[in-house]
This record gives sequence, C-alpha cells and structure tokens, in this order.
Amino acid sequence: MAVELIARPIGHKLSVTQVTAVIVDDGTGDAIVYVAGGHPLSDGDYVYIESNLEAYNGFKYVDATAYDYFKIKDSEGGTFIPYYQDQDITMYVSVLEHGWQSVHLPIAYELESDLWPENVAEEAYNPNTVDSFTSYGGNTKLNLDKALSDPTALSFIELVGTGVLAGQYQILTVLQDWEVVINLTYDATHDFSPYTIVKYYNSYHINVEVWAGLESDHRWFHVKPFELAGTLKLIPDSNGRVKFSIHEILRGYIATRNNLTLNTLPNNTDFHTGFYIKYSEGYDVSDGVEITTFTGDQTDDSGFIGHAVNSMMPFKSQGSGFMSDYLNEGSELARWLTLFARPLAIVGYFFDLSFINRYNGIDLQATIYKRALGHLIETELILIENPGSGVIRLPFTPETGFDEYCIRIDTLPLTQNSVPPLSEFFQNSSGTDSWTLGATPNYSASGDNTSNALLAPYTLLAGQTYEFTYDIDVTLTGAQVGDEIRIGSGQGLQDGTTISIPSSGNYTGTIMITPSIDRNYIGIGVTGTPSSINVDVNSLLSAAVVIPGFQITEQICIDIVQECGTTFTNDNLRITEGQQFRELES
Amino acid sequence: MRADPLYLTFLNYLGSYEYFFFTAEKEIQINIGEVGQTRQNYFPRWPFSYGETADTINKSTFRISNKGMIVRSQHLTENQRDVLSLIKSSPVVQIVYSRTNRRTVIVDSDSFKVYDESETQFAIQFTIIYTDEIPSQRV
Repeated sequence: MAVELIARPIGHKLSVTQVTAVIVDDGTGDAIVYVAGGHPLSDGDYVYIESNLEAYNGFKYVDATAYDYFKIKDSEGGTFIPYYQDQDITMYVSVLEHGWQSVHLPIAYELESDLWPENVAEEAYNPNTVDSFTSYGGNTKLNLDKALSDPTALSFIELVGTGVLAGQYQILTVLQDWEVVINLTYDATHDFSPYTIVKYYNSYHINVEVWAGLESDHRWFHVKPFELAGTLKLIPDSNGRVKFSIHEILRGYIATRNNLTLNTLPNNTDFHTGFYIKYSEGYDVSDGVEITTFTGDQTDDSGFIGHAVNSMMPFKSQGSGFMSDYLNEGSELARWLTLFARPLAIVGYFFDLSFINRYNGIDLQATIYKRALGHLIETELILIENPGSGVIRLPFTPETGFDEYCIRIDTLPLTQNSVPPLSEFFQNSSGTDSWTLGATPNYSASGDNTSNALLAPYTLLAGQTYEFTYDIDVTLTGAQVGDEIRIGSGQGLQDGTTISIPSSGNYTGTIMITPSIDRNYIGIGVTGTPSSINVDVNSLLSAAVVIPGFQITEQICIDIVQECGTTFTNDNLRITEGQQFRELES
Repeated sequence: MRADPLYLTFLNYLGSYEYFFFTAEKEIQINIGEVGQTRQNYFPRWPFSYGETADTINKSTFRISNKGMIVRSQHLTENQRDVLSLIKSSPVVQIVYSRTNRRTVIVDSDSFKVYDESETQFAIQFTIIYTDEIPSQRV
C-alpha cells in the first residue's frame, strides 16, 4: 500500500427532507441506525445526523446492513461509530458529494502511510525475529529468523517491541540477507526476544504536488490550464497519517478584483480554480556505499477535481467551508451568491448577480420575469452560452415600467456530445502496464497486470443514463483466471461495467452508465491474470442522449426602483452630528 | 436641498458583488495626510525680502490630501442593515458610475454607525475615503 489517500475535501449537499430514526446497539458494540419502514441508502452514501449525543452527530458515511438498518463511520476509511446509548435522531440524506469550497478556509486532504513511522506492512506479512546474536568487532551481529528484504550497509532496521533496545539501528555490514551487523555495542546480556525486526525507512516523507487550473473540457481551459501550483513535503504523524491543506497555494490562482470587462465573462474566472493532487513517498536508500533519496511511483488523484471559490463561509456554517447551499442537485436548487433577501436595483443603473454553475459543456438560460404591481408584464430570456463551471455573473440594467424582477437559471436541453475518436484517447498512470495509443489502441501484457485507464473527455452528468457500444478483440495465451475489461466513467472508471474475458475472441455489446456524480471522462481498463493478454479496441461509441433542461438556481426576486426624486418633507429628516440633515425617505 | 445618490458595490464573503443605492444626505470631507513647510532665507534679498513689499517667511511646499465622504443610508430593512453592515469588512468597495467606470474606495474602519429608527426601520452611516490624492503642485 505504502501511501493511501484516506480523505479528500468532499462536501455534501443535503436534502431538505427530514428523516427520523433511532440509533441502537448492533450487538457487537457498534452503533446502528434503525429507520422504521426502511431507507433508500447504500454503501458510500452520506447522511447528516442531529441528536443529543456528540458521537452520533455530523456527516456520517453509510454502511448499509439491511433495508432498514445501516452502520455509520466518520469516513470511508474510518472505524464504525461505537454504540453509547439508544438515541432518537433526525437525519438528512446527502444528495450530492462535491468539491466546491472556500479558498479562504482549509481545503484538507489526508494521506496515510503503512511504512512510517511504523513499518506496518512488512511487520504484518514478514515478521522477523532474532535467532541469535554475537559480537562483530565490538558491534552486534544479528542472525535473523529470515532474510531481510534487500538489506544494504548504511540502511536501517527497527527493533519493534517494548524494551530498552526498541528503536532504529543502522546496518554496518551485511554478511547475509539474514545476517547483519548493526551499530549497537555488543553486550551478552541483551535480550532480543521481545522484538520484531523490520526495515526502517529513514528520512521518510510524502511528496504532494498541487495542481490548479481548469479542466480540459472547460470552455476557458486555455485561459487557466491546469499547472503545477506547488509541492509539499510532508512527514506523517505517529499514526502514519498526515493532514494538510492546500488552500494557501490555491489562493494564488484567485484574483480579488471586480473586473467587469474580464474576457471570460460571464464566467468570473478570477474567482474560481479547479484543483487536484498527485502524491508519492520518498525515503533514504543505500547501495552500500552512498545514501540517496528514493522517490516512489506517483499516484495521480485527478479523478477527483475540486473547486476553490473566492469565498469565506461564516463560522458555524453547517457545511464548514463547503459551498453546498450554492450548488444544485435534482430538486434541491442552488442559492444565489447574495446576502440580500431581496436585492435592490435601480432603473438605468448597472447591476449583476452571481451564482455557481458546476457544469461544463452546457448552455444556460436566465429567465427574468418582469412585474409591475404584482402583474407579470414581460418575460425576458437570456442565453448564457456554455459558460463553463465556476462563478457566473449575470449582468443587466433594470428598465423603467417594472417594480420587480424575478430571476432563475435553467439548463437548456442538451444533446450529449459523442465519444471522441479512439485516436484522441490518452492514458493515465493508474495501472502496471501502458496502452499503445492510436486509431486502434492496443494493450499487451503478461503476468498479473492492470492497464492504465484509456481515457477521452466526455461529460456524464450525475443521475443521467448513458449508453455505449463497444467492439474489442482479445487474444489470451496461457492460463486464464480472471481476465476482464472495464468500461466506466471518470479516471477511476467508476459507475461502469466489468466484462469477463474467459477466452480469446471478439467482444461486442452495449453497456449503460449512470454516474453517481458528474464525471468528465469515459474510459477503458484491462485486468489480466495470469495469462498473456492482447487487447485491440476497435470502437467505443455513444448513443445519442438528449438531456432535458432543468432548473439549477432558486428564483430570486429583486425590487426595482426609480432613482430618488428631488423633494422630501421635513418628516423624513434627521439632524446629523455635523448639523446637517440626512434624508430617510425619498 | 437634493438627496445626492451614491451607488456603491462591495464584495461579499460568498464571492460576489452586492449593490446598493444610498440616497440620503452625504458629506464631503478633505483629509490632509501630510504637509510640507519651509522657512525662507530672507538674507540673500535683504532688505526687500523683509520690507514693505516682502511676500512671506514661511511657505507651504506640498500638501498631500484625499477626499472622503460620510455616506448615510435611507431607511433600511433589518436584512438590508445586516448585509450593508458587511461593507465595513469587505476588501473591495467601489463607487459605480457605469459598468466600465468605477472608483475603488476604502471604508474608514472607525466610522460605522447603525441607527434604529424604529423596530423595523434602520439606517447606517459610514465614511469612505478615496484612494487617490487631490492633485496639487509642489513648490
């Protein structure tokens, strides 16, 4: 495992529907939620729980155990919340997981290592003990129960256990892989029996690259393309974990200014940037003579792209720094980015309102209902052509003859784009073996192998169903056990279908993908084990999909007033401390 | 007397701009930031520099000043009062003349007052300071 990403900056938009339930003991000491009449949740969903017991409260990861029961954790990689006592709860189901949040508050990731400070991985699968020890030039020579993995002089081992000898020691001489001399002065009274011997990774650290910009399918990608924004070098804590925030780095990609002639308007790209991370581990290695720094393979987490917005949510916000209330999902609409309950606009004066659009490749339409004395006089439609995701400004100048504008944003019906030709597919670095790119991408590997994901930009909206047809030639050599092809969405090929490959041949068919969250890629992956496998992708096509328009923002109403008149009465005056008058009404 | 309107916009903490039209009486201020003064040496032109037609002994060499304005609101609702109070904490406050013509100002941090005119009517007052200096020559 080495380094694993255990927490991303993911927020949750909650349904407004309240659900009452009760938390009871599951019989093993864990808390379990019982919902009378059943619940619609499955593993990986999130709920927000309110109760009188702190351990049960907040956002919880769902582990569904039955149609009317589920257990809860703080996160997917966390442990089950223990049972304390029966408790009535109120909960709200998360309808959207997202990465939209304030750039002026922590944007936190958490990584975990099983190599440092405790080498849990090797300790677990390769417990090693000391059979005997002798003096070797005054130092201690250990004869081990089994060989160390690639021991070299100047590298380190650790004696894990309780006692005075516990700790790290440098290997001075390697006589055999199971016979090493360490920098511990020999003493015949030493007792090594309480200790397990493992390799120790000196100067261990985790490297994190922070990438900031806009996705390749964003309309304004060329204005702010993804680039390496910064590199962090982090050392795990005593639990092997490291929690860090990248918001300070991302603030460099936010410009706090009011540029009403910005080239990308109505998308205010000054106020938004996407982000993701890549990470790897590093530590000292020795060739027996010289110590150098080893850097492991990098893991690319661009399957999750977060979004930082130039905002600063108030203290005690339910979503902390997340912009959950300002995003839409289904019937849960996005709020406008204004604090006024009813903004006030003046006839003939420039005005604008902002909202968050989380879609790329979709046209929007603003509908302005113009009223006077409660009667609808006129409806104006404003096309916002594929603004791309981000903070969108809707500018307008109120006209005379109306006293109220009510505005909402909808998407226009969308005819889904088709899958790009295979010659335009690219690959990430998620697997053990690479594709040969081209008009007919080829994957050829042997032994236990996993391909990189073969990807192309393709927008898949959460909850929509997409149909794909495939035509793939496969040649297998040798024993076949578990060869398979996966077609899915996103860089992780999520929400897809796995096709079993029991024998050589031509595989064609149709699959349906209904992504749980918005995805930006369609892709193919191959797993071969243990045979040699050769795969030629002849075609991957999408069926035409027309997604009907839907409302994304709440309807907001604005008072429209004329510029102030020139007369007033004395009743409207208050004398000021400067012996002037201030007018209260006009 | 005319209510002289002032159209302000400011960045809210959500990441967008709020607008408000202030119609109540405002006051203009001139703030003097720094003054340079020098004493003339009257000896080189003695005695004329000290006689009946002499001009001055002390003279001003430069003055750095900027314009300020006490902004007062008309009656506000409670929500308008709460939102407009945030103008004091906003890093970007501008006078809007048109979409392409704006002037950034600074809200004086010590100048904020909220008036409760009644249980449902409020008014606020604060001072804005222009960021540029009033043009003047140096001697």
